[in-house]
Amino acid sequence: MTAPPAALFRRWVHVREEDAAGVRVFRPADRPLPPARGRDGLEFRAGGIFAYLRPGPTDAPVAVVGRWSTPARDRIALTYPPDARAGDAPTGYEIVELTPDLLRLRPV
Amino acid sequence: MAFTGRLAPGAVREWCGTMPVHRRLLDTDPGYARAREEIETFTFDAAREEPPPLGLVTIPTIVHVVWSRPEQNVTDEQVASQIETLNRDFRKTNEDVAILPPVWAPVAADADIEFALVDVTRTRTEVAAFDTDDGVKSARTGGVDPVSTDTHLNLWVCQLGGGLLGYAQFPGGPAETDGVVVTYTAFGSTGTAAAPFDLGRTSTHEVGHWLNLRHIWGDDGDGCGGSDFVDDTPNQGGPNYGRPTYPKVSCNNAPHGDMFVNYMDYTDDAAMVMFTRGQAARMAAALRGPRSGLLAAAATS
Repeated sequence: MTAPPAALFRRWVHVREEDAAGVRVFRPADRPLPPARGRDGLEFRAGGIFAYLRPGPTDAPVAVVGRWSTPARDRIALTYPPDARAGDAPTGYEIVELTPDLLRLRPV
Repeated sequence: MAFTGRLAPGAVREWCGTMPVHRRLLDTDPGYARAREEIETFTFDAAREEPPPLGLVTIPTIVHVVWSRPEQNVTDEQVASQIETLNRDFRKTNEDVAILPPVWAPVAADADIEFALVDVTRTRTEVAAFDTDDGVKSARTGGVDPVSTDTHLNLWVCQLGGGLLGYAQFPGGPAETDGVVVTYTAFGSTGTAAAPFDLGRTSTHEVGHWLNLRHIWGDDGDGCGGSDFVDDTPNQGGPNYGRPTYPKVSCNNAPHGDMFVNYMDYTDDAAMVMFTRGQAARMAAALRGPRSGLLAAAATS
């Protein structure tokens, strides 16, 4: 187990129009973002908790709360509560790039 | 679906700041869950009984402009453009209904609902961007309180954070947060409205929720098991974005595919042009049931 970089621990919004070559692009939720109908997102917290955020039935984000671990360097494994994982939600990512302004993740 | 159990109690509480409105209400307010069940039972029965049409219902509407930067203080002209769009979309007088694939023309509906602007409030705030925690709906948190939610639609316009265009509250929720919220760059069809959300359809979508409509894909992620509780919308996988081309097939719904032209999908403003008859019936049931105060107000005005 290796600790992920501290920069990971914040709320990120998926800017899907910037996705390329199977890599998902996330931007910090507290910065100006281009509006879009239905953005998903991720929030990582120290201590092994994450939230997968997706648009809920009235468009406000719905959080599915699970646990993250780091099985290898630059890898994040995600564990969802029973029956809580949406069919298309990744169970792991490779961290392709992480800066204070940008997170690029490849689903694995 | 959302999950908040099996974590340390502190963790759950800590997360409530990011909890969605609908889910937060379901988890923390047993009365809301019960109200939602009763509304769905009523709506199901109303659809089966096919009651006579209500006729034209006009909903008195109050727009609350909440701004911290001058450009967010949208003009009366921009407010008027939004009301005009709502009236066109809910009466099927929108000219762009012409883009409908012919197969869906027979189910496109005039919902027989109009909106009358009765007031515009303007509030200056220190809040740079509002979250979905309903902060904009209370003066205590930098917003402005709603007015007469049993007889009026309250529509807040502000800067929303996280790239969010808008969000709504279903019938059956607390009166003090009842209404819809739209970000100022997706409001109306002039001024600060910016492409591709510059035709006022965010408000059409949110008011659809406010009148009890669900997303057309059934709110089950990309699965095929969810339902919007409306019979004349095709079963659909997940949301559509942008401006799809017909036909776009999912969930064995060939040959016609997803009804991405529906206001309750996630396509661009220029791509969504219709409610269905089933959706209109569901909104009428909301007006007969949980939002009957609007009918009573219309009858006496």
